[in-house]
Amino acid sequence: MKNPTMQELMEYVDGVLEPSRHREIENMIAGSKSLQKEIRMLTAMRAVVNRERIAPPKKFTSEIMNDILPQRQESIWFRLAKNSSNVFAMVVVLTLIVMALVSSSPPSSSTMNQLNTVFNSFSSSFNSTFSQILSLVQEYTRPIDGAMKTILGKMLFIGLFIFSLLVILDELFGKRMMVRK
Amino acid sequence: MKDNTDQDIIRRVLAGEQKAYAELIDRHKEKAMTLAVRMLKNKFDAEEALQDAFIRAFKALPGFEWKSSFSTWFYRIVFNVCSTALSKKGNTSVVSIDEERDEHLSLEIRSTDDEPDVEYEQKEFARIIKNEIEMMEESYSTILTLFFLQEMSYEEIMSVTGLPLGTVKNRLFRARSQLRTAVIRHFSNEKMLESI
Repeated sequence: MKNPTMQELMEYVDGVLEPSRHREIENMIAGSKSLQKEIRMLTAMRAVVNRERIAPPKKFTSEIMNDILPQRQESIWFRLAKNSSNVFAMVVVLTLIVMALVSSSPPSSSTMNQLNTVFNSFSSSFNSTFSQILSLVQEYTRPIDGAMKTILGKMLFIGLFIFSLLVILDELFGKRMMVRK
Repeated sequence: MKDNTDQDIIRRVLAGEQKAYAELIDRHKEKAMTLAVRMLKNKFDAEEALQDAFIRAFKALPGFEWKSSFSTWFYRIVFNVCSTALSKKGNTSVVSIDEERDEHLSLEIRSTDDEPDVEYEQKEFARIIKNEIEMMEESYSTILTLFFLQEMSYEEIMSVTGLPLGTVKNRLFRARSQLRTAVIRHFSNEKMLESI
């Protein structure tokens, strides 16, 4: 029986040696302290390497799944709703500017009449449902009752109405539009 | 759910339950990450490569032919992605020309009857092994990881890496010899060998 090489000892630990040679080495190990220690070290090495795990970050799986799974496409309604907040803010600011100008130098009656005509024609198209909502709002918001009769009040209300409408439309149709990446 | 095999999960994914792929990711991500880190020697690059590998595997899943296990197939993708990343970085495996030469290391270990501090030495042993693997050349640590951590056979490693059997065996031998040398160098006497 020839002494085992290091390669053979490693293969012995891995259990991939030929059965006859495996038995021979097993007998030699039984009678040799140094071989027993060597086997113990190789086995421990294997256990250490086997145990070690390097974990990826916590969000690793969800990030991959976000890349893989169908994504919600931003519908036209969603984009409008998203952007309408900016538009609404702009309308408010512009209205305030207009109101400031109006209060400092009142416009001619013809300009006011034109504006009133525009808003009247716009509101008349919603008249049947809108007037009821308006009266309710006026009833419960007496402090701003007067404001509702002004251009600012009307514009604010119309802006809110459009914004809400876009959000509802997005809820109804936006989420159904799915597309794969 | 957890008892599902890879095969069950793949079938569910292919049947349209794409969210089930997350289970497959969770099942393999740690071992795959370990392999990627051992190859690329950098956690950030490894994470990026692994994400790429999982996405590639998902896209290629309909073409998976069940000729091998999912893990062998998947680790081949991880290996290829990491190899590409390495070549892009300009890091190519440098293996000494005498790699194929058989080597037989000395088995001499001195004996002593001293009682070692078992817990400390076991931790120290593990630390040395980990450090040595981190410093080890990528071509060796990759084979070592596939063999020990992924518990792959020589044949499976050949399938993943495309290397011939002789090279796989030799790299594995050299990797282990390097670890053994580091351990022996660190512990000038065999006290620790009693405790491991």
